[in-house]
Amino acid sequence: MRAVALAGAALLVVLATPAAAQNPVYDADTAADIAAAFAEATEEQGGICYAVTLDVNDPSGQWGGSYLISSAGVDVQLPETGCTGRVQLQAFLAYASEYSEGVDTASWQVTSDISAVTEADLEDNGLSATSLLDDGRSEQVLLNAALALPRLAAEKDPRVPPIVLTPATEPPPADARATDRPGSDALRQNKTSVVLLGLVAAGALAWAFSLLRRPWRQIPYRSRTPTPEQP
Amino acid sequence: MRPPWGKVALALGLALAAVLGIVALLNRGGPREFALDHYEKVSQDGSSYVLRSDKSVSPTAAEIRKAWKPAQELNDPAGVFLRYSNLVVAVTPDPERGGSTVYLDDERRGYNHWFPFVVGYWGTGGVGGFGGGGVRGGGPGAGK
Repeated sequence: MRAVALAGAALLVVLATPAAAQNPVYDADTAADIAAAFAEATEEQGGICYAVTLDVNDPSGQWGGSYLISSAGVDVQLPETGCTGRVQLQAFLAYASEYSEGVDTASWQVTSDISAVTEADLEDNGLSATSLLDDGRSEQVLLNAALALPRLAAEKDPRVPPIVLTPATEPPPADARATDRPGSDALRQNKTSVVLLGLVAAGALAWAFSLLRRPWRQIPYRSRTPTPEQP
Repeated sequence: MRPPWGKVALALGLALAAVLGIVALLNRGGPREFALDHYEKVSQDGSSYVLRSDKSVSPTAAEIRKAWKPAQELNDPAGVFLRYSNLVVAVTPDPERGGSTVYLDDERRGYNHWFPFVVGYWGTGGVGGFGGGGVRGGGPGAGK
């Protein structure tokens, strides 16, 4: 009887435990890319270590959790010793309960013991923490923020050696090609102005058209020749 | 009764001015012209240029980004890639002289130059088969 009760209790615990939370921002491939880039940067910059943590608070339990990427790997803490410096990005996401009137919030901060990199530097690079709430952009924004850290560390502290891009010297594979062709640069840059001017042009043409049409319809035709007198 | 020709002329003039404004906006150069006007030319190979900026990568990229919004942007520990219509801009530190180096390439040449960095983000092809290592990819835009 006791064994049955224990088995029942164990079953209840298993059923009550929510499924493992999912990372709402990046997937395993992106995490591996960031970890590899961090490891390369650590090697090239003389042991400066990088890390990104993402803390997600989700009342539903679906997305909540703490996620880590560092120079040491995905979900691996930086070692206590061996780093000549540390630069860490901490991002925070808080989803509001669907039963509350609150709104989702996102923020981040950069901490560093070797250079004065701050979250303002990320903003100067066109990156905003609030974009982490945009499902379509959050992954790219976190990736860009993470990969900017080694460059920003070198920009802010002359002791940190910069890493330099070197163009590929070998031809890429035959099937290599860019995808998702960008549209017109001028249209992207001036979209609002073009739309407004288009509306002005359309409105002005409509106004001119209405001015030309109005008189002919409303004024009846009158002949200049006198009508013959009635007998 | 005659139509109010004065008002008609005003409306047509307004429409013409708006159309001319659109034409002017859509023909005011582009990111390539902006970069060539603002940075010192180091070398040229066909439509590809190597330019030099006195400023570091972040302010240089910010200037270009502010003047011309890129369609896509990719950060890397070594620099910034800005993608435009048939133009790839790469900005990287210049450790010898300070400031930064700005590379301008058309779409095809830029993709070939920076393939190890941008593959998987705004292009495809031979992931894992590229010699020399350092190939990243599989990130956003890679079939997610």
